Amino acid sequence: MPGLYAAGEVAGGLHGANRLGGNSLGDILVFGRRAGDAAAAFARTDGATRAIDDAQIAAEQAALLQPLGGDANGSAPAENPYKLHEDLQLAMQDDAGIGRSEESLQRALAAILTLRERSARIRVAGGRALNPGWHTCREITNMLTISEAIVRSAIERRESRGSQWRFDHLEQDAEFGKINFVTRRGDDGMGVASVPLIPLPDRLRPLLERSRFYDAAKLPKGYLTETARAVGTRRKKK
Amino acid sequence: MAVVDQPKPSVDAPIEDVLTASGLTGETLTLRVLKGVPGGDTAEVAYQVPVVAGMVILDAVHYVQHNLDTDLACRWNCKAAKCGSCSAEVNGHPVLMCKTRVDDLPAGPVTVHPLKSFPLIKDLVTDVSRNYEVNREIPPFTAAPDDGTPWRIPQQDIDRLYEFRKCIECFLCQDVCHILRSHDYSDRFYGPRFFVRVASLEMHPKDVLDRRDQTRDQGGLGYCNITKCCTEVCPEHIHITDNAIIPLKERVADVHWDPVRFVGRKLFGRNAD
Repeated sequence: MPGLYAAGEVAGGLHGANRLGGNSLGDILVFGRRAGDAAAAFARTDGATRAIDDAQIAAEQAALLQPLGGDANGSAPAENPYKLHEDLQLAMQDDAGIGRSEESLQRALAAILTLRERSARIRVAGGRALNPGWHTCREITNMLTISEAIVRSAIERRESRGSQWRFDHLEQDAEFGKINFVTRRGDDGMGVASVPLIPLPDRLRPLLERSRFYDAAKLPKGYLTETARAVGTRRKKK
Repeated sequence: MAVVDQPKPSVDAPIEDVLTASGLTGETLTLRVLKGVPGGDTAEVAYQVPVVAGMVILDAVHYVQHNLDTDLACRWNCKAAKCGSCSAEVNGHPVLMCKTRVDDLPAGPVTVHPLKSFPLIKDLVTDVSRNYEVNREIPPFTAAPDDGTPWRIPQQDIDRLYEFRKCIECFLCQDVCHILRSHDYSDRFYGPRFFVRVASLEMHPKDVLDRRDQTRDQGGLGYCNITKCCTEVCPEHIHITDNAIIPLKERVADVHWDPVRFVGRKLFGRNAD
């Protein structure tokens, strides 16, 4: 999309499977600078003054204002956006946390799709000025999209890597180390495609190859299995 | 010692034991929140909130937003007393809502009002933009041109500045200060937060500007009569009065009221300082 620039964690994929706190501080500095420079340069070009489709604006406005429009249509009762938010938090916390499996992820996906249906009926009172309930209506729609992308990609990644521990696939798989999963909106919902990673430049390769996590063969035997087992045991204790 | 078999990892074990611990204490809190917009009706609305162990006022306000009134406006962000957004007046005291525990308050209804010194926008949200205007009036840190030598700053200077750097700009000190709150002198008085900022610049050993006259004339430093209310409400425990305002007053007095310097100025001109 011309004119759209991303900075920080949303730029995606920089740290591979790792997303430890603090890493994104580097992203802020590097990509904030790059995005800012590029956006400023773009703003000076002719392309920056293109017209926006009025119909698109009207559709977006209608979608935004819908939750303020009185009672939900049809027989189903109106939904509170905060309740949806809490239900989504619980579903993701329970079934799409660091420890996950095909079974739990499918449960999470089903929950998300149900919440997506319910989100069409969210209604809030009040007007447009500083109305946190109304803001949450927008946020919950975006959160559902992000959650669905997370879960659909996690289902496809049948390995344990970084902060994903698939209890049904406890080992790291070198083949999955060569691809990313990319989600796109299709005609019949969200689709997931695997995209090969851009090969690492030769000058950076020695840095990474020193890491034992880069190559599963270098990990101590049974490393992930044993760690996951220990965690599973702890979780079961009362 | 009996040896117990290690349980088989049941990796999908539900974690109800964690989730069922809801922490409800069985008590109910009556929260009286000021609702309204300028020009319209403003009135306290009473909400009944189930108390959870360790609950803070911001939690109670969130409960109201989530369950009772999704239209209740409230500024907040980090919920960790570091962003300075959730300032309000709880039982009449200016506090951060995220740092005020329900079990620290006396029994009975709790009132939550917006900051009184700033114009109301809606419910608990006020317009604090005057603070940012004041901030822009203060010349920023300015060092002498780089002469190539590395900066060496004594640790005690660093410590002095570090206290001022703890400010999270919650503006509770601006809210409580009677020069702003009762006399409404926001057009001629910078307020405690900005005396802290000026002090941090004036006390920086590498800063070369002199902000003393400005602080006296535009900043209205003399209006402060050291009631120390700002120090009392500061959630970062900055000694605003003792370490920022009084030293600034001393510096201003040094320029204008030191008799030896006064004579010196008469004889040799202003630059004799």
